[in-house]
Amino acid sequence: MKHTRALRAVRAEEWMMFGVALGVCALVLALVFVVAWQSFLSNGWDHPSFRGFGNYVTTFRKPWVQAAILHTVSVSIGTTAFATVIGVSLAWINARTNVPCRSLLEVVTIVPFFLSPFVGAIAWMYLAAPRVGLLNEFAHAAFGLPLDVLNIYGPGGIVWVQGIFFTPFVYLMTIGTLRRMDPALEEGSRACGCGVWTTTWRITLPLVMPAILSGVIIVFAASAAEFGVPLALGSPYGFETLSTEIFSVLQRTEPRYDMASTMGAVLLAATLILVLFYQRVLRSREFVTVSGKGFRARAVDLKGWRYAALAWNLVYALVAVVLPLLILMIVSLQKVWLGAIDTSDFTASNYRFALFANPGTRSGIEHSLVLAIIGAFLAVALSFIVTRIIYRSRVPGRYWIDTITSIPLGVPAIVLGLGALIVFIRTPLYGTLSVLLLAYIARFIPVGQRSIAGSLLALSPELEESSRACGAGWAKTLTKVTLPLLKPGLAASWMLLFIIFLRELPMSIMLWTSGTEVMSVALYQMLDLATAGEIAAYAIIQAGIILLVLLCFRWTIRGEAILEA
Amino acid sequence: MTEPAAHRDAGAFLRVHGLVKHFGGMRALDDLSFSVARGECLTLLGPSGCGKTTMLRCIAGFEFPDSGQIEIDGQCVCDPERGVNVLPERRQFGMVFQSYAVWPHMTVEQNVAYGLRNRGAAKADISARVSEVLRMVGLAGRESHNVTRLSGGQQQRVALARALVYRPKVLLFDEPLSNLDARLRERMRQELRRLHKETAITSIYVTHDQEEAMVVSDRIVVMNEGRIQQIGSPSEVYDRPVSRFVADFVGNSNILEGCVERADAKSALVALEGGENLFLRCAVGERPAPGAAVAVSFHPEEVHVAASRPANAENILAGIIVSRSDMGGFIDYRVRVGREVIRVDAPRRTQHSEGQEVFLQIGAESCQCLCR
Repeated sequence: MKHTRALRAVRAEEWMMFGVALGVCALVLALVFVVAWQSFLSNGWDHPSFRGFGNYVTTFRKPWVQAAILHTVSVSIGTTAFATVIGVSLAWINARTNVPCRSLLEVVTIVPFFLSPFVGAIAWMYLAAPRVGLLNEFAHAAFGLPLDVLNIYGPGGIVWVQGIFFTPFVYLMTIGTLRRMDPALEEGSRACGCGVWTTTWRITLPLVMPAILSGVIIVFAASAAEFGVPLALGSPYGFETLSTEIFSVLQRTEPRYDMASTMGAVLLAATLILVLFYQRVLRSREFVTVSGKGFRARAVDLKGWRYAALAWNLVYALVAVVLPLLILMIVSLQKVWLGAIDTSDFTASNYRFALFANPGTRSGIEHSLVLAIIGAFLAVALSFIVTRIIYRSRVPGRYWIDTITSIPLGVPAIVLGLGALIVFIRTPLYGTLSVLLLAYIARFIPVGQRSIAGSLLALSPELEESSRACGAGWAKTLTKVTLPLLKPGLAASWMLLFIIFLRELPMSIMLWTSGTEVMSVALYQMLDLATAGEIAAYAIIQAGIILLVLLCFRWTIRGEAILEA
Repeated sequence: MTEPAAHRDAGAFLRVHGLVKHFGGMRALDDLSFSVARGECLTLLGPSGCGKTTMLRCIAGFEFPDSGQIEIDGQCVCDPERGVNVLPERRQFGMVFQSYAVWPHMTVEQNVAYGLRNRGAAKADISARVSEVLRMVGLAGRESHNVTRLSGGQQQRVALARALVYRPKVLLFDEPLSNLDARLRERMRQELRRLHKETAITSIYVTHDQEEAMVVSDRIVVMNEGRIQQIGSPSEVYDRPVSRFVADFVGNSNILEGCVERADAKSALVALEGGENLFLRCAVGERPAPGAAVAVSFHPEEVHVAASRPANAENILAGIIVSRSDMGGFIDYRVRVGREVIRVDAPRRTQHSEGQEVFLQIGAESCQCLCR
């Protein structure tokens, strides 16, 4: 009785949005569950038989699968340690010290967050491949070191590139907490007679520990799921991880969906557990840092050490942003890349090739732009609806919508791509861009949802209610009050999703067919077929579009919007 | 079946009958009924969480009660039993929120004119109405200003103008002054009172501040834990609280436990539990039974404090001053009498010091006898 009365209070527009949110939930659940379900079936679409845990037994007995698990875990541990040390140190330097040029460093440090790790891996190939890497050439010429002193291929290189690109995760999570921390907590320690360093060690660090821990978890999960970097730096040389093996068993003459989904299910379970744990840590963090007063904590005076801090920060900027972009630019202008810069040989022909001459790369750009622009609009609209249902409606079951739409955060893109492949391969949608669109939206709806939730929760419901009081219906309130006020937040979400969609590799590589290639897929295929200059030119085009969009939206980028991704 | 609500209280303009609302397992509104006459300003007063804001939001249509009826100007806007739930935008009310809720992306003029535009008013009409209302709230000539540049008090005036401009049937105020500083709050409540007298729009005002309630309203509904404790004019509620809660919350009264020693039709002599031989005579509405457990309440400012025992007077309590605080307008003494500590607000000219023995005199007519 009470329940039906509660239902009666729900307005028609809320039911409409509820329906949309349910559709999103259904999509997410379908793509995830189908992988789990497939892992219990025999291979082949026609007469699959239920095999129980049979696939698990056969798959995990294989030595190469065991090796892939070992590789995945070891690379993830390495990446996490690397990214945490750099991320935390940079966050502390930028948030709490008087390091010079701080505002510039703050911007540069988060740039790798937006660039594609896959492109980063390619850039580092030109920097540190044995014999032809520019840094190897330099080390040889300057110090007489052997030409293969640096070798980007293999676990070390993967950890290096992933570490560089996941550093902003830890950095953003830690710096947010450091900034919002009530200075009184530290001042209290100073008043008790503790010095700067004792206070930093005994008060500051324990207080940001939950933030660091959540950064650690998220980076570990992200590197276990990472696909592009091991694909570029490991696979060609026999170093496979779970995610690259999932891909490669589907490339066989007879694709092994049973093995792929078995490995996918295990990877999924691992990352999902990590992300659930992360959300628990995040919740406990809420009350540790007293926040929301908008103060800036007093900076620690590093004295002479501030230049050492600056140097540390600059080194990161150099290896994460400057060197990769620079080398790609140089290589892209070169007709032939032999590991040395030859300015007399500069040419624009590589760009002509990538942009116009080669149909594959050209349509890749077109498809990626279409998917990124339309997909980001759709994803923002759906995220907005889902967010409203969760935070601003009386619909029963809101909690479940929140839970279900956060699941993709813990689902590796390669696994979700596999799910989409299994679901859509037998539908007429397969072979169209809409398959990629649906997969992108399913995977990144929580990113949009979280970034919009930040702005929506900051918007007092009274602003909308006063519009209703003034005689405006819900649609008018939406267009005249809600959307105009949320514009900056929505624009930031759109930008974030645009960038993510533009560079997306793992799901695209699972779902593309000839005629629906996108940029990252075309880039992957070029690795085998094209010259270094052409590859670099294409990579620069992708990075260039991303940086251009970033620049256009600079005014809307806020730490919080980024943080939640 | 009781008679339909419409037949009772025929003068009422807005009527709430038997409203019940649960939040989860909690009863936020517990069978609330009251009515507001046309042109009256009624205040819902109570501590936070007492349900007053929920009540207001039910009238607005932002919350939907589990049962009960709400009627505005003869039209039933909400009746869960019959499935009636008129949309907020059709209820023709104006609302002023605690957070101001002015729209930062619109100018003052756009904010105020919004409600008129939604109602399809003519252009010339709109600008005339807007400037008239802005003049009423003291913001004449600020039409084109950016609302985010205005001070908190001015933003609240914009919100007020926005609610007044389309001459709503009812004005709802949800703690409109809570975000303002004390001085401004005092000035604004005088102005709200003046505006209410000028416009004579039926108003419902929610606040937790008893002084504010006393100033702005014609009648006060004191609420606690989702129930109505007392309805009456400000002076009734202040001078003749019917319960310990009202005496404490509205009057900030001293409340002393005791039992009736003897009583007649007009007064009762109460023996206080706080010490031996402490008696207070208090006014009573109806004669309590001797021996009944009661409480005596009186306001701090109604206590007369003296250094020597007044001769031939009743209702004298002897005590020791435990603290003395200069509050500016008066002196706040805390006086220990037996096991109780009594708060006394005395004029500035009194010069008693801490530790001194004093005599408190409270007129019998100032003492209220509250049944337990």
